[in-house]
Amino acid sequence: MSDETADCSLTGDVIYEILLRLPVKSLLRFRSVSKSWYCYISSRDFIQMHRRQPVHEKLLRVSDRGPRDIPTISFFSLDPKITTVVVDDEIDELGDFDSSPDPSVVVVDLPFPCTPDDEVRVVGSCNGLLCVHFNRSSSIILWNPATRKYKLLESPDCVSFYSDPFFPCIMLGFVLQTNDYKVIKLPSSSNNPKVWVYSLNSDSWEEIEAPILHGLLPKGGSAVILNHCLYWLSYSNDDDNELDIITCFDLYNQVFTRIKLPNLDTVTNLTIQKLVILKGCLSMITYSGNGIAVNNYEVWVMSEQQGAAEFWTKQFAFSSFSNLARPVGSWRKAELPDKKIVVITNNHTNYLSVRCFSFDDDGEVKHLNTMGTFNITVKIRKFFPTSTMFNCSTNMGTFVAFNSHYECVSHSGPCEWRFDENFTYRYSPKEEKWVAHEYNPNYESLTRGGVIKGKKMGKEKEHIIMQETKIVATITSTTILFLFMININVSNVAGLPNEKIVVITNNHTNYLSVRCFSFDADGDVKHLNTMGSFNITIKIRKLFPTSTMFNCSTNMGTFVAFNSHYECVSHSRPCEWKFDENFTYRFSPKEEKWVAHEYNPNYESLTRGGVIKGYYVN
Amino acid sequence: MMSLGKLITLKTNDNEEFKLDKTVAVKLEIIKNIVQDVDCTSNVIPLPNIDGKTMTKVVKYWKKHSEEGVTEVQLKNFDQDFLKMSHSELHDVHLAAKYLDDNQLKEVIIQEFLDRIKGKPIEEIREVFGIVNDYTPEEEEEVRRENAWAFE
Repeated sequence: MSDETADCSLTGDVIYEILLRLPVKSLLRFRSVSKSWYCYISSRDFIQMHRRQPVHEKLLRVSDRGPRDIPTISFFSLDPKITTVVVDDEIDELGDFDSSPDPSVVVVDLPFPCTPDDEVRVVGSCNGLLCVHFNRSSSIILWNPATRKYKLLESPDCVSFYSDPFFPCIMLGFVLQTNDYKVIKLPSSSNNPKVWVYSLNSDSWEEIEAPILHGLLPKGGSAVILNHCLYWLSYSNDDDNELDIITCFDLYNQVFTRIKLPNLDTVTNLTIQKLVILKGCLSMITYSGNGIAVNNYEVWVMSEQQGAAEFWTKQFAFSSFSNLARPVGSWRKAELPDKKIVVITNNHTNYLSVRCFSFDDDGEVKHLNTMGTFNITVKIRKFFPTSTMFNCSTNMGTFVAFNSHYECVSHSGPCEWRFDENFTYRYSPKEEKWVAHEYNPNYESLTRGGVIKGKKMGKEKEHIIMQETKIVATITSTTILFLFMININVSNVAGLPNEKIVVITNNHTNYLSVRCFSFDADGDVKHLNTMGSFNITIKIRKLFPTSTMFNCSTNMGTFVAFNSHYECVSHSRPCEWKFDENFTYRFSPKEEKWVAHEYNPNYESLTRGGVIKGYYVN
Repeated sequence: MMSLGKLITLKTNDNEEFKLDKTVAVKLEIIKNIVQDVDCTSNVIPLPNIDGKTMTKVVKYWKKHSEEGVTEVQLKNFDQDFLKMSHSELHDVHLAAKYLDDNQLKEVIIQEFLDRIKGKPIEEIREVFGIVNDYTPEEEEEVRRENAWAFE
């Protein structure tokens, strides 16, 4: 019916704007209003416009059984409109686009049959379309969870879609020029470099020779897509020197290219690379540490490729705020929602009592059967990416802390990090177990204890495994370019006072108007002559070292943020970090000034502006 | 009027005139542009797309929202009352807000429409937007069947 050349215009201006804001479910329903509504809602122009609406920004959280039974949680950007914006107050039982009990979370069953022992992975996401790979049954499905439509891709003759689950061999991309989605299947052997490319428009597979891939195998971590090119990290295994390289496939011209990595000053075995898209450029975050703590990050951005000469610039380098922070991806700027809803599921075979708490809420104890779930709502603080953290403890002796799930934003691979009260663990594929990155007195209990969302499921639990392939969409969209998981060290907190008094002094030669705000208070504007001062009181949150943060802005165009780091409390040296709305600054003793660690439009003003000194008196 | 700001006159397509404090009116992009173009506030600004009845509502909204010392709660209550109008009146105000490039008012109207259609059966949706159903019953049934889950 959408093919009719009927007049697709609608009467009434307001209708256009309203339709753009509606979730897909409502739109599908509203196609029955009239023929012109049907036509308009089904039109390519409308679909594209609708997709670009920031209100529909969504992140899809997928929890499934990863390769070799590793429980995984992955995140994909998604534009499904399967739910609407969070409606705070009331939930209309008869509601249309807010009819689910929790309007921001929708659990969607896979609409297609799958065998219980299959490895089901969402391997790619593009414009809300997901590519789902069934490894053991060797099939690929394109699925739009918003419309609930899916398409099984018929495999070309004699080609198995089975792939080593640790390496992403199947990728999804979009070609705007032809409005076509393409799926590519990389060879599983580097000696036989033939690639299969599927085009949704032609609904067919094409095999293309890719001699350039000879000797290359994809590394773990997922591909990123920029314009019509897919990029993924590969390594060359044809000689003793393992060489990392970025492989690029231009889906429009169907050409492969190799891109050299930037010349990193220090590359060790512990250097980890991650591809992201930042400000429309292919970028790579590298980070390394001593195996215990990650401490150095570099962000390299590749400018326009000029022929074969790749041009990388180190955009910034910085250290972590905390002992261990892992960049997990990039997310484009969008409006911040007020809060985030997190779904906690007991994937353990045991009954569990769980208590989750966050900045806002101490949480009640919930009792969960296997696969039982509940939601918690975490308010999003506008300044700090880590501020939506929450913690869950269980009766199994485990203490599991989650970050606000920015984790794995652009990964299709398994989540490799988790946390407990004292330590950080990384999943070791070699040893097939979680390995503590620091000495851990509770390690035993972690092995036997129940980890929420993180326990192997036995084969006899086939019905549960089916449930595990449920897909949960969580509203998330953020202004944050970088997302970190921060190690939480609770033990430091003991014996701290309830609140902290901070003295703000104007050390600048100018008169200043200052407004300081924290999690607890928006703060009044104070007017300070030189050396004028005032106090602010900040409540100390029991769990999070960063939670006493506050920010001050002044009329000098400067936006000065202080961190209330506990590390500064007991130190006599100056605090070396500060933050503003968008960036992180570090005090450089050499240059004797604050240096922005990212591009900063206000940098000028920071140099000339007055930096207010703040210190703690208790 | 406590303000000493100059008044400007807006004239609707049915020749109704609205005198507005300039400081209120120039907050709107379109009025600001016209004022700058005309460069003389004594001139009357014609609003060929808006009738007096609609403009009365718009001006009432502007005045309340630029009132000094008005609280959030008062505005919320005002908006609630303000939005008690028929579907077609709401359409008219939306058109006026769009023409006047008043995004805030536009948003308020769109939100009201969203509230009015929330969870409503298709028949009521048609009513809100004044749509004539051009499906035959069979066709409509067919379209509904295509995505039956959306009607659950």
